[in-house]
Amino acid sequence: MQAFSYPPILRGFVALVVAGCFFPMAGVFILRLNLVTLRFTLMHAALLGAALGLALHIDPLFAGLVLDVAAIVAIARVARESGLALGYVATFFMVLTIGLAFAVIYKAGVPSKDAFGILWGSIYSLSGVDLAVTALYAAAIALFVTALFPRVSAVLFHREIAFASGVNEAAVTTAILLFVGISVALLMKLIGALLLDSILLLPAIVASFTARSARGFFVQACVIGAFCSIAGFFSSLALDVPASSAVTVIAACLLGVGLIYRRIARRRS
Amino acid sequence: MAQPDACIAAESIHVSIDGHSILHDLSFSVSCGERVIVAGPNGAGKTTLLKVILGLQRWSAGTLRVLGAQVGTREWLRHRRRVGYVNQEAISVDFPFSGREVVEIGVCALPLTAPVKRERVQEAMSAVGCTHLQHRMYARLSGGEKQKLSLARCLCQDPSVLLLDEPTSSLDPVSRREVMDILHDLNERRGLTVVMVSHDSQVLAETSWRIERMEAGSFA
Repeated sequence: MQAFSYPPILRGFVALVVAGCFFPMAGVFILRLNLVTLRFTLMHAALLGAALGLALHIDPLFAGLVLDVAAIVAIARVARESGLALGYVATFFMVLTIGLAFAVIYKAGVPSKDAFGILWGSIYSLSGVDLAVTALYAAAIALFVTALFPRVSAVLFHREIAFASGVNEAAVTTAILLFVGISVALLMKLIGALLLDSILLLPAIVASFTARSARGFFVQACVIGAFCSIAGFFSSLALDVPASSAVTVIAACLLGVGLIYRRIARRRS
Repeated sequence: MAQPDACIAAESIHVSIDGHSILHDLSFSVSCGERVIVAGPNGAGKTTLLKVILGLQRWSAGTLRVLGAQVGTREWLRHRRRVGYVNQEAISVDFPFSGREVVEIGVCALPLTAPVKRERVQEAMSAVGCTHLQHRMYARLSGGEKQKLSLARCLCQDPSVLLLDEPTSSLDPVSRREVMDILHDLNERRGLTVVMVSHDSQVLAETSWRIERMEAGSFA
């Protein structure tokens, strides 16, 4: 408990728990709408944002967020107007943004170590503003899913059915994509691009094995995410390993348990 | 020629997708309270016709009025929820929705209070005979059970028109008969206009509904 007397550790713990409790909601969106490619595109867009931020002396996290939001808006619009699948458009933007990121790093003389620093992330490097942004965003996604749950679940069920039921499915879909984009950008800062799935996707995948309703899916994903982040944090302190690694190992173990549970449940049924 | 008081009135509709003509010079009229089956081979444009009526597919020429409103206008946006839609793809949704959550989609955008919505969901499930499915996982239900939930979802919207895309094609004979009986009942007792796309020969052979045959983008 003495560790919490250090503000960076306390900030890191709070941010990790907040992210673990609420960010898996975006993981449910990714699973249901098959946005795995989009997730990679957003990582690359955030890298471009970080490179631009460093070149223009702007906060890299803020620049990454802006680039992710811009990428989401552009991808949604191009996919809608061209009739192409979201995955194809996202792949195009993924290549474009990483190409531009390398060009910016080279031309602006940005130290690549700093730009690629966004890939690793660190919960102990968060500022008070970063924590506030994370908490505000967590409140926003929780409010979106709970207040608009019937409309969100209509879009997750089937977009044409949602439209025919009177839902503004284009607006709800764009909002979902924006939440996914912001989740990716914030988690890159928190635990890094390479491990963000441990909070974003793995809890949602484990929940998909046990949930029996859409409401239950969201709730279980959040509970599992909270467990992984809290257990991961204290494990990292106890074992002296990076917090992101500990969270990831615990989430992966839970995924293994979930797979065994699913296998047993299938045999029984 | 479309009747002036028709529930659905399409005049010389043209639809092209990626340069291919899907519907051409299509005229179609359905009176309120009528039940119609649109039959025809795969690729005839049956599903596209339903999507045009729903406002999901744009058309390049012609006029289309549904419940008296020109599709795509502000007036039509107010009427949109009075057109229920059952498609075939929703049957294969693999996500842990409960049966009740699927039916609740029908009331999600209606300006009603939560208790009224709950009551309407319950009534719709009772009317279709699927109350026992409310806590079951949608993905694990049979095709017939899923279609009953789809019909209950549409009923929640308090529709005047039901559009159904091949609702019986993947069903066994018993489930097919059940779904057709429910549709017949909704038409007789509630006066719903029902337009159903089907190439199910069994349905076509047994039905007393008006049958319109489509071929290559227009009615034969």
